[in-house]
Amino acid sequence: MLALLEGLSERPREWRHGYELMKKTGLSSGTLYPLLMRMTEQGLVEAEWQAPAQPGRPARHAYRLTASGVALARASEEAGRPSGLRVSPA
Amino acid sequence: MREKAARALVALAGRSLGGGGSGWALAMEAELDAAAEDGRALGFALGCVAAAWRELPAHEEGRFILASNALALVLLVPAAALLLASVAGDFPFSYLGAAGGQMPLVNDANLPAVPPLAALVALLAAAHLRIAWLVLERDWDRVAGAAMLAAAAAVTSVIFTAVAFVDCASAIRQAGTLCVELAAVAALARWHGRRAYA
Repeated sequence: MLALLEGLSERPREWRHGYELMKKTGLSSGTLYPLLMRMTEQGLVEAEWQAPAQPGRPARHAYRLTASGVALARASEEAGRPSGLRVSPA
Repeated sequence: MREKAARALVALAGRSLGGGGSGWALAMEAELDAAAEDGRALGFALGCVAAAWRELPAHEEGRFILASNALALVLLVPAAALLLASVAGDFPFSYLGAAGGQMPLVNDANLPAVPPLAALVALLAAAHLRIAWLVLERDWDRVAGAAMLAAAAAVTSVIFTAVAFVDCASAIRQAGTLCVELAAVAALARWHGRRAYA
């Protein structure tokens, strides 16, 4: 899930297709789709159908993080940093 | 050829996801072209099947699919295999002596009854296999017909072994097992009827 969060949070407002996410995160389709299903159910990821780029091809499902997903990605990024680099309140 | 196999696998994944997962099935299917352009259609499709099967316990239709496969492949098919093995083995001793009691008395008087009994047991095994297939097809009308045939074969074998071999323990045990199997099939049919999956 962290790999997917990281992959999606790089450009969080950008929609990404499933196969592109597989290549970016190195996850297999057998791991990626259950994660996308769970994260969509939990409101961390939103999905939309996009018109095909070429005629005759099917519409594609695209994904991006919701506001909660972005917050979780930031929190996990913070938690993963070495303590010396962690941003602390003034 | 590999792309055709990949498409068939993605279709299988879509069926396994059930009605509630039809959007995800279409999403996987739409990505197959992109995977095929990279020459990774088969790996992608196998992953989709794995994903769909991992999701089976998470939704009710998936649980129904798991239950019907378990009933068919863990109960009905092995029961048919055991019956066929008893016919192929040292029949009728392999069948009548299976209850653990005294070995049956087979003599010149009841020897002609052995082939019809073997045919009855083989018929019962065939009925098991037919029920298993129809349960997976969710064809409950035909399941009822095959269940009637199995019940008739089981009852006839009880009467037949009692009269011809004076020992119907194995046939009664077989009929009892069939009752349990048919009760499980009826419960599955009721479950299907309540939810009316496609």
